Amino acid sequence: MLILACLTLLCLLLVVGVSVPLAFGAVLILIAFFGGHEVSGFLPAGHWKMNTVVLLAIPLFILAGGIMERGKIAAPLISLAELIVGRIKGGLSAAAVFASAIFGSISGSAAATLTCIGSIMMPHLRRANYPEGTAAALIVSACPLGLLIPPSASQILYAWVTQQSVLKCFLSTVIPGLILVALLCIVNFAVLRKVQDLTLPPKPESFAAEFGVRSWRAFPALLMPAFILGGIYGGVMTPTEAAGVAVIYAIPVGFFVYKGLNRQTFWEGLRESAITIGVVMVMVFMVLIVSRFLIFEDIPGLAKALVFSISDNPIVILLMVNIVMILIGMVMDDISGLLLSAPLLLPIVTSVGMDPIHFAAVLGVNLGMANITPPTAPLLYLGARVTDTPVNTMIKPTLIMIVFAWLPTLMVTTYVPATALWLPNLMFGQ
Amino acid sequence: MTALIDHIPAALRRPVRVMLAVKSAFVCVASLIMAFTFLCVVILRYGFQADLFAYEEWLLIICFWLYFMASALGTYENSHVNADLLSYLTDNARLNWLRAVVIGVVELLVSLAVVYWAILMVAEEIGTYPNWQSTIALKIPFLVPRLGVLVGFALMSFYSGLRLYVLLKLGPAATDVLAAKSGDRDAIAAEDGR
Repeated sequence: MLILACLTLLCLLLVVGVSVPLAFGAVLILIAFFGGHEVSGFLPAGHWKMNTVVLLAIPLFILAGGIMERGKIAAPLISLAELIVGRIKGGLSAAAVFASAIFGSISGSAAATLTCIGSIMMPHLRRANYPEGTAAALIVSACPLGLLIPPSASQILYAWVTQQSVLKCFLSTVIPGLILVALLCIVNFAVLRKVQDLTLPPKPESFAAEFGVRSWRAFPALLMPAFILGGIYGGVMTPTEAAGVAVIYAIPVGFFVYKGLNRQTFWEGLRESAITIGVVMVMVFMVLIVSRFLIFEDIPGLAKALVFSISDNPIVILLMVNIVMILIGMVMDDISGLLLSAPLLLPIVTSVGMDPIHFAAVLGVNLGMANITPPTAPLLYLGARVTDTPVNTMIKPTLIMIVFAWLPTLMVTTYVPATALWLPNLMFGQ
Repeated sequence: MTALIDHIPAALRRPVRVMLAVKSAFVCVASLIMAFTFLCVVILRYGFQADLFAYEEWLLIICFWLYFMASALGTYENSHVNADLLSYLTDNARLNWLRAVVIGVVELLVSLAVVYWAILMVAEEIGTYPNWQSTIALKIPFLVPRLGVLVGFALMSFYSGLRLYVLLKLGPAATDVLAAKSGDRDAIAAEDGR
């Protein structure tokens, strides 16, 4: 009963618009009043939980994303992607998908990917007569690739919460990410096939020479994922250390190579990133306290019993788990959604034989999709602001992307374990 | 659009500006310390085969202060993550104002409750002196990061209160003011430059 009241209150406050950490704070008040818990233990529990170096990867990736955004590190990546696919009809928007995938592998953050790629690509797409709503919807639909292409801050969090290997979790989302890239491009070409007046970028005199020039220009940006991932998988650095080194690498690259940073933009970028860090980490703090009490009340056990009372068919159970995750993701951001759903749903999926690493990929795809699914879609609304496009023109094309690209990716990831497990097993064995 | 700071009582403007500037400077420096520390850890490990002794202990404390000071700045700028669904359903200024007031009241009450819990936590920590909990190697008392939690939530409550005050003072016209994040940033940047 108390749990039902907690969930109702949480959903109500989130829908009204109360900020996520304080909505969880209100749930704690309810737990304190009716659950008989000692209130003096609430905040020390949060401190104990967060007092670990592993979690510092999240603020560091946020910081790296913020500095890259201000440093204009995305521009040469977009320029390269445009050269490769830009001359096909609809290719310019496909370039946005590729650029999101590449930038996602640098920043590890969907919001940073959206802000960087969206702000640069949207003016290009407008000039080339792409339908505004469709173009913005595609950019928004592609930005959660930052959550899927490693390194990903949310996968680090999942690995920490469920005590799994971070490296395996990173690899589990690579193939779903690539499937999503392919499907988004296909849907994009299908949607744009009847649009007549799209203009193509001018053809370079020599593709090879232009490719060489743009690749050279993009090289310092492309070097970043190479040494982040190389450092992590080579055993040279932990993900947290790699994130710290990425921040430091981004500073001179932003100042001296791409020249997006100067004294003013650097401090602005630092300040804005720091605020995002505070917003995210205090949210994590509050969600961790609440999830501790949910586990204390054996909610994962109750949820498991409830699910198995409906069906014991693994296909049906996985479908129910996906629906629950989509609903959670629709009212929460990816970080708090992950912190709440991972401990709640992992016992259910493992009892039907799903590998926790496989579940990492399912969770990643689910929360990425939920973040762009109306009505409460934080990335959709952020995308509307970044691309300066009315939300109502974006909703229909976004739903098309969800139905024809995201949902098939989710289904394949859920029901074909090899999509998530093949790469981790190849690299690290069973 | 105007900044929130322009509508708070005159006597509070300067202290609020100074607090915002101090917090801004702190969070920027703390963010850089966080990143540089890991660079040093890697350089020491591979360049000098050495360890940065017990760096986690002081770094995590700096990070705790960073999280909560930055979160307080986020409250001032209304940057905290929320679903913000209902504002897209209606353009009615009065309804949006009413919703903002309800959110403001809920957020203020909840943050005051959290401040109360933080006071209990800090009081309990002080009460255990001289046997208080501390980090293993450097013996830094847990009071230090936990004080950051208290100060952070206290500032969040204060800014929530200011926001609610401006909402009630200006009525439905306050919607514009409360969306004026850039205006606030300009004000802080001006203060930083002084």
